[in-house]
Amino acid sequence: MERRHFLKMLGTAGVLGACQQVEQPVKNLIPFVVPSEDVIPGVATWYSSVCQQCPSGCGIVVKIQEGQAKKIEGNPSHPVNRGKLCARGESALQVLYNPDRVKNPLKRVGKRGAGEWEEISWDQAYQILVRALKQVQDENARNQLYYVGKPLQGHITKIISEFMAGFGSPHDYRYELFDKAVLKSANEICFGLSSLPHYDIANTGYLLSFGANFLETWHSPVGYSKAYGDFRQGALREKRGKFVQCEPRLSLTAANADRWVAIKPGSEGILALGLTNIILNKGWYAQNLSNQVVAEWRGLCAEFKPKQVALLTDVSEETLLQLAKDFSSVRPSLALCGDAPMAREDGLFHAIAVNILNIVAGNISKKGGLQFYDPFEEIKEQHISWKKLAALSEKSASGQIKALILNEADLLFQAPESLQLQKLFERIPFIVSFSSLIDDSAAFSDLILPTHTPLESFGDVQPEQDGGYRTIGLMQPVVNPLYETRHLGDIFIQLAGELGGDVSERFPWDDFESFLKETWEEYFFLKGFEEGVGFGLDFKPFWAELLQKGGRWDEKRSKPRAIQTPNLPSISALIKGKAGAKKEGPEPYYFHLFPSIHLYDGRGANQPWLQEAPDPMTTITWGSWIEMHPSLTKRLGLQEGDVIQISSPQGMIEAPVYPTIGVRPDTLAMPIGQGHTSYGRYALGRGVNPLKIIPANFESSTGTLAWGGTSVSIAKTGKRVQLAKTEGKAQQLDHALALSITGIEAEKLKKQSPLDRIEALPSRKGVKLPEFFNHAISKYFRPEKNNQKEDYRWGMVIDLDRCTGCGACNVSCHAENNLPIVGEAGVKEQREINWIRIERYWPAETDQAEQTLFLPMLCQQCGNAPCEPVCPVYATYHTPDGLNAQVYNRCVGTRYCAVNCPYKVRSFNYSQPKWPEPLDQQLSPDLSVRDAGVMEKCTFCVQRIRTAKEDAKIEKRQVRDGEIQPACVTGCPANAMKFGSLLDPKSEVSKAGSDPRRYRALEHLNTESAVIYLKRIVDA
Amino acid sequence: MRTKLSTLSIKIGLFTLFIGVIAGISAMTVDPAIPSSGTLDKQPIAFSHKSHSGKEEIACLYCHIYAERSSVAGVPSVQKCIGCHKMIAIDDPEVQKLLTYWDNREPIPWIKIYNVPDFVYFSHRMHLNAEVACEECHGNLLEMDEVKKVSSLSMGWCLECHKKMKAPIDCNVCHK
Repeated sequence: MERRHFLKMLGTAGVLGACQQVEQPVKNLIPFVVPSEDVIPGVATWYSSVCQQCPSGCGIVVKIQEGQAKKIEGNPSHPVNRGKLCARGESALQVLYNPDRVKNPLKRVGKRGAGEWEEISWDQAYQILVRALKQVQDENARNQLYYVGKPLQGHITKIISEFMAGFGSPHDYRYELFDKAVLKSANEICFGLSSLPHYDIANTGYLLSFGANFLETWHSPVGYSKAYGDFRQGALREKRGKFVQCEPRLSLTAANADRWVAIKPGSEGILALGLTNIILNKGWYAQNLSNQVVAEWRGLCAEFKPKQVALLTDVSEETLLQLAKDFSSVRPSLALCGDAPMAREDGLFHAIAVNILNIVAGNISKKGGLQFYDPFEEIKEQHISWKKLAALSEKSASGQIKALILNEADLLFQAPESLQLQKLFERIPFIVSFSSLIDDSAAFSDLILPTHTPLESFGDVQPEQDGGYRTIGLMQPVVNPLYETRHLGDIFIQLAGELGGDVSERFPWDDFESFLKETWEEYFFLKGFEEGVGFGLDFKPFWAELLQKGGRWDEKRSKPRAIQTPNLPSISALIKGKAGAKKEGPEPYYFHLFPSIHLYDGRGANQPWLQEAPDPMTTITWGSWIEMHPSLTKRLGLQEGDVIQISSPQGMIEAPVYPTIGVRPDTLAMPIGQGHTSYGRYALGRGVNPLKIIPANFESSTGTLAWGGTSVSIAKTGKRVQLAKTEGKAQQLDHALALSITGIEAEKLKKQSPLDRIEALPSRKGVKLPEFFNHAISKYFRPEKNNQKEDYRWGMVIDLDRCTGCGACNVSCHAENNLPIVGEAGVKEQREINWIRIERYWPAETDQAEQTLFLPMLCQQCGNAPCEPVCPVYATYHTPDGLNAQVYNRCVGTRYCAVNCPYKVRSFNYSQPKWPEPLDQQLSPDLSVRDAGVMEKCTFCVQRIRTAKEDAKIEKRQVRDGEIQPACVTGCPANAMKFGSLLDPKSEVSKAGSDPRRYRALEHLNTESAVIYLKRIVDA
Repeated sequence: MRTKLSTLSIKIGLFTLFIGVIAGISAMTVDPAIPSSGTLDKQPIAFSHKSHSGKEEIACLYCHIYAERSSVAGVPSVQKCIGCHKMIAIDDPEVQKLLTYWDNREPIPWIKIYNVPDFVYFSHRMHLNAEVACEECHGNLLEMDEVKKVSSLSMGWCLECHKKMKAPIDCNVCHK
């Protein structure tokens, strides 16, 4: 075709196209039939509930817009988390809106575990279940019905135990992978109390942790992260706390420590007693210990001589002396024992050893030490140890288990192959699973009854650690159930009714809600009168107020419980001979497992936000990896991504290598949480499950699974894969983005007077700008002359000394701002979309791992923004209040802005984002959902700014300081971020930004950024 | 000659292309939802603003109850309609339709006339606070039986008023 013909045709086509009627789809306005009293369309309502993503029991508030859950934040008054939340908590929305939820009861049709199901009605499901249970009754085998479920920590547990008791079976069990049985047992021996203490990290002066990952998964990570922030930079503290972590791997917690002592795995207790020995012999023990007691302890610890301890732990004698001196001279001090050392055959020894160290240093029942408190009421749950679980196998072999009820108990995923639980399952004639998703164990059952997710449920949760403010949190359904699911309690109540007889007599309630109300009326309303805290004569307003508040807790801390003197004979029996030669495993390398910060015990693996959130230390997403020291990989000739085979006598797994200085050279470290064989599209077949090759060993006194003490050998496979990681350069080289100072420098700076305020306004006087910046401040980019006065300049201060690098801000941002998930392939192509990311910079010197720095990097909202002048369509511009705004519908996707941004904080949508139903219900209507071809970036949560400004305008006032909190700020567990107007000299952000520790990233570029960092203090 | 002709044809071709593109763009930007013939899909019930707010003088906010509190004004609930129509004009065939919706506890699927794109944030609350009268955008509904779109709701139309009223014209105020 000739060119002119082509052009003619093109023109004609254009005219014809223009003549065509452009059709728009008809949109409807759907009114309420009957309006709901508490719903205003377009205005969000927040309902309180309790997070169920781990056993900590944090209080949450859930943002509901038009009946859909949009965002979760911490409940500001809940004693466990005080308004803070972690990445897992933020992600609970993706449990509710998970696309792989079970929508109807399912009946197995194929072979067990084959994954072939038939959808049935609830009536049919009850029929099957009742028939199976009646058969158990008829066979006179009532005590051969088993219930195994996750710990419920609330009154619902009573429904289960009543049912089982009524049925006539004593086998009503709760179990957990990371149970705290060992620590409780140790506390029973040392303090006469079989419970968990409150560790007062916020007020302690010197923190010595033996592998306790309290910033990640240990006990109550949000509460302890908040305490950690205050421990470092609390306003009420005179001195910044010092923190030493003894652990074979540089965990996120260890990376935040002032010093990381990489001890041999399994020698934690020996180190603790070695330190105790030194403290006793040097006379550095607590003053209130009597001579006799000291003599007794000396006798007990006599064998832990520094030389021997140094040999066993791989910690030099010099270090031992230093640690002992610091631990005993700084008062109060505190020692913690982590999960990994307790998950060994001699776990109790380690827990007791750390307790002894605390006793000798005088940290018990002290502020800044550890304190035991009474709970509101004892909620009794019968826990089953892993040893007993394994023993069920024999029972099932002789046909002594007729039926098994599972409730969100993923035994088959969490149990090692060597426990042979699959065989146990195969031998049980009938298995029913209550679960909202088909996890690995539910996949092996005969009947699945889908339960409500936590956000659709009533319930209550008594946290194990509430810091002495006796707490029970209340859960309420924040949205209507999405599918044909039922509440666990309702299922049991109905089941009891249909079974009839003894069982049904125990259930006078119509449903779980009325049971819960009645229980609360009895326990808190009527009892409340005795305590003088009743709310009038009517229970209804009292209940409504509780639901609004999110539960019931004390406003004042109660008095610590009295403790008993340690049981010395038991202790003596446990620690005797421990300083002898240590038994090493049969294979050459230690295998150090750790719970993934995002996936925990595997339950987070079906949530795409958590899968895509980078692991803080390795930045790896969507998979498993093995951490190895560079000296080891070099010796073996391995590189990053090389797939290796690691074998224990019990099995073999394959995973790619990630070389890191954050692990001992004789140790391989691997996260727990991936490797599901079911559990939905995001979890299925992803990564490997290291628990599978653990030997069937148990902690000798409690029978808990000894997942911490395995040894393995390595073999090369010759395969190599690309790791889906987000890190660029592992070190910051000379870019000086994340800065730190020593403790001495920090002390000097503290004495300085505050610096001048930073207003981060464009083009400081006297600074001559390059030509394109003059363009930038032309009328196109600075519409300040257009009717609007600059009342605010939004800015942020990030205290790197508080920031732990946990990544909660990242997930919070995903939830608030409709950020898409790009998947493993997308991350590999570096197309992930993050408005805030955590940079992890390894130190320049490989022997200074504690100088690893974390830097939350988000749009710096520059005054002189390099992104603005290069946009050809003015899609990115400067707002009067200082933001570098992005107008999405104007963006044509040239990506010039991203190229010109020195901070690399802009993300481009390379592909059309997808939200499989019903995940799209979480999308916020307050901001656009961006299409493919559009650049997007942090806006300081402009939708929140807009709402606050509008409220202020209507009330004819200025926006109050603290009224606007972007999602990353509210989400930060350690309270590291502050937000406000830099123009207001009294604002928190102005005050914090005058700290002499302050700096701005790449300040020499004269970007006049509005994000001010405070240098991390590394006090080696 | 050949060269001249071809240059000319290119010019003509480019010109037609240009006209076509302009026409295409304007077809996309001039809001097609303004019913040119007035026969946009029929509403499920022939509700008349003229008789409700014109004749009976019912205040706008009596039915559009969220307008002062939210970004959306809200359409009245079926219950609200029934509040009056369980007594008034129950023999009217259109009211009969309403009663059927109510009996079935079904919402009325009204057809949306005023629509802004998803990337635009518009707040009734703020406009009422600025004392912008309803009819300035929605026209004189007191005289309208069927609601017709009287404003284009295009960006230029918004800005014209914003400039006149000295309201903020920063992109971020409306673009979300």
